Amino acid sequence: WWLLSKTDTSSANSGSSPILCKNVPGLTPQQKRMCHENPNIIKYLISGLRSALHTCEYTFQREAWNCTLTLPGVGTSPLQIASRESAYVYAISAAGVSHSLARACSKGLIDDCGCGETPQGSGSVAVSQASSRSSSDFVWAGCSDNVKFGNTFGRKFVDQYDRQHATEPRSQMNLHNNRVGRRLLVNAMNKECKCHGVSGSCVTKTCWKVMPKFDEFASRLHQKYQLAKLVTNNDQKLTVRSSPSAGSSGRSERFARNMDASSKQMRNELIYLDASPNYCAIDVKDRECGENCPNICCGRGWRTTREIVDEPCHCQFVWCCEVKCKTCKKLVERNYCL
Amino acid sequence: WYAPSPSSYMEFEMITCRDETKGLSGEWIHRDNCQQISELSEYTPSSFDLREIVFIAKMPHTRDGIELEYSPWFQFLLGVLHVDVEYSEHFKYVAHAPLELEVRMGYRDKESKKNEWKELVTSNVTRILECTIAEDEKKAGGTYDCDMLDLFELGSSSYPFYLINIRIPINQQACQFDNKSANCQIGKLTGLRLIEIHQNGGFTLVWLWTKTFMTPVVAICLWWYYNRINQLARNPLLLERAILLLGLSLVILDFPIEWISLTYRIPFLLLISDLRQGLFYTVLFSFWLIFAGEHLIDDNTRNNLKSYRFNLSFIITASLGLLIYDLIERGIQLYDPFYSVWSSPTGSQIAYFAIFISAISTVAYFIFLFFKIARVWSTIKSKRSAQIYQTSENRRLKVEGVIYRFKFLMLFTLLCSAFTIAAYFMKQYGEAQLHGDEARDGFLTGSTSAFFTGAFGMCNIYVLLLLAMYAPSHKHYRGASQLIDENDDDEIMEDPSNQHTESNAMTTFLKPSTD
Repeated sequence: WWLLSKTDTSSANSGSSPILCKNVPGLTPQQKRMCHENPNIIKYLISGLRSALHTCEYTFQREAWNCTLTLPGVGTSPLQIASRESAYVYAISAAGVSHSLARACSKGLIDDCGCGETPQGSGSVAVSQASSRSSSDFVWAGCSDNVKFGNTFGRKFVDQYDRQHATEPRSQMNLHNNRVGRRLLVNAMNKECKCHGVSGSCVTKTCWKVMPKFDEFASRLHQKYQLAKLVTNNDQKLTVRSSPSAGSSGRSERFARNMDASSKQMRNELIYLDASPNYCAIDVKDRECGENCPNICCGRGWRTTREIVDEPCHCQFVWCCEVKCKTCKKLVERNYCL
Repeated sequence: WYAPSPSSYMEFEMITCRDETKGLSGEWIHRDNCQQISELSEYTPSSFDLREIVFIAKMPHTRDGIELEYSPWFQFLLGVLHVDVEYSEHFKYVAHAPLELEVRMGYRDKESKKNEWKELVTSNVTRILECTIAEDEKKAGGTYDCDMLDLFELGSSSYPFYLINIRIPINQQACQFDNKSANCQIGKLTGLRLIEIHQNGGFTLVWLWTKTFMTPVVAICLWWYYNRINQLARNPLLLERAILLLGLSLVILDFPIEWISLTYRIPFLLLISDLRQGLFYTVLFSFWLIFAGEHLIDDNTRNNLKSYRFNLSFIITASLGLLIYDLIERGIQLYDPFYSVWSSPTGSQIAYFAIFISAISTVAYFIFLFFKIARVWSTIKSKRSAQIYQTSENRRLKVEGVIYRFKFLMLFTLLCSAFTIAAYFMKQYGEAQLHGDEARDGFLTGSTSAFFTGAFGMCNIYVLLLLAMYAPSHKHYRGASQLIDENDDDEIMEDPSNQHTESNAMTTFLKPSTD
């Protein structure tokens, strides 16, 4: 967990040099090695992580917990509690890393991306043999996959710490949630097809999968967050005790059943071990709360300020971006917690 | 080690780069000299026509640290472009907005240096951008769902590497003057994605060997059939000539001309293979028609191509329509791979017209064919029940022969088409399975190429059997149970001592059982 938040802080200084790897505290030696060996890949890994956390903040903008990973008031990071929030953070960052790596692969910015069939080896043995095999495989059956590399590399790097502590329930939970995030990303891909038979007929058809926009994926994950399951630790195994949770009135809920967290039904569900802390215990003073003030400010009331801000207006736009704008003054109302 | 699926794809999300020279220097922008723009919407352009923004893609990708290469085995390369348009309040997308792209495509040989690109084609591409958006997506960050655009189609993949540079110029004066001009209403672009599709080398190999093995077999069969016909004392029947033609078109279809493309550059191969397929289907359809027509026992207008001209004209129209369409589309693509008939309004009208006419004629053809088959069935039934020909052994045999011959082919054709259709649905089902929740490569993955080879093999066997079964026999028969072909009927009645007679294969076949 330190790993995630710490890499984030380090990425602020737009790290691209291998020095970065040494400066980040909290990396395991293996992670340091990977980071050192693949500086190019790490660059995209970090940007993926950053965009994941950014998306998290955006998604939770209007809720009591606003996706802060460090809470200055309390002192404990919410990630240290095995709550559903940390389950969400783990899942979204694992997926964010995969997403970013896969995009970099499809842009052709990473030379080490694989073809999906075989997970890339360490590349130390028989390089020439591997090279001839890989290109002849391409001629034989093509090379289409971008996501698998992202998932493989992401798994190797992100899961590193928890893999070493796989007997601890907390690590099991993290690994599970990481996996859920990645799997959800793969399942969220859309299929598109093109017919190219004789005269463009559909006798021959090729289909491919399109990576979803990360925002789209994040909203799906947010639903999963709301449906996250509480698990308990039973001798080295996480089991779901179906609690009569509010809102869901499925028939299965009536039976108290114990289910292995690695079972098929749980493969796409986020899990957590502990209840969420009371986020109202933290200091929410001066937090901007928008429209959802009663919730965010935990009933402490809020104040409204009116400000005059400069905004670009009467802009001329072209297809990519705005070209020239005037500045207008505008009155804005903002709500802050007391 | 099964055969791979017929085609595969590679996705290229195009990198956006800045080029101060706006492309005037003629320099190629590639990954290594690209001043990357990481977020397009945050970029402030310094020019008005936006030629300074270049979208680039190098094909194929480097994978596992190895520079992959396109191979002549791929037979064709085609590119599909996806335009990602984001909803923006300020710069709105208007439906059917014309999109104009300045595309440069370069190639590189294996021997040349890493970034020494040579010009393949430069083209101004105009396409219509069709996008839709759900009502609840109409907020900042919402995305349009846009149809993909055909970008290019190369009839041969003769170079190992390609590089594409795309610019999207905008003329702001023209936009103010007429907002229907190009690129004025395309909305807020966030990126371009290119999907390249090619035939798998493994599939090409399997396919070529199948063809190579089939060609001599079919050719020998055809030659044998031709000899049989030539040895006849009479002129060949129309049906026999039709079968001969069918065999000939199959040989043409089978001929593995693609081997040449592996060493030489033949961009028109795609067109040729289209034409060959078209020829085969035209002949096959004509054959069915003639076959059904020749079995109308009481019809006297048989054995004459002219009597089929009405029905045949449907086939001719259908294939002509498709031929014209194909010649325009694929023909012009030989010179400009970025050409598409569908991009211009007149072009798409012509294309629609050609396809529409073909479709109508095909439907009309099948209606007539089924009508004809139904008539044959009813004739057969009435003949059977009436048993008119019982008195004359010769006549009876002839009619029975005709009936069996027809039924056999009918059954056989139905069986073949049933297999093909079943295989097609199997394939569809397999694909549906593949894209389920837990996508795994399974048994049905390879069935796509199995389907093609299977359908192709079936087609060959069909024609081969036709050649074999319907070859006229030239055995000599003695005595009363002479079997004579239908057209020689009257002659035989007058001259029973005719020793040199021929019969159709099926009548011969039937002889022992009816004797």
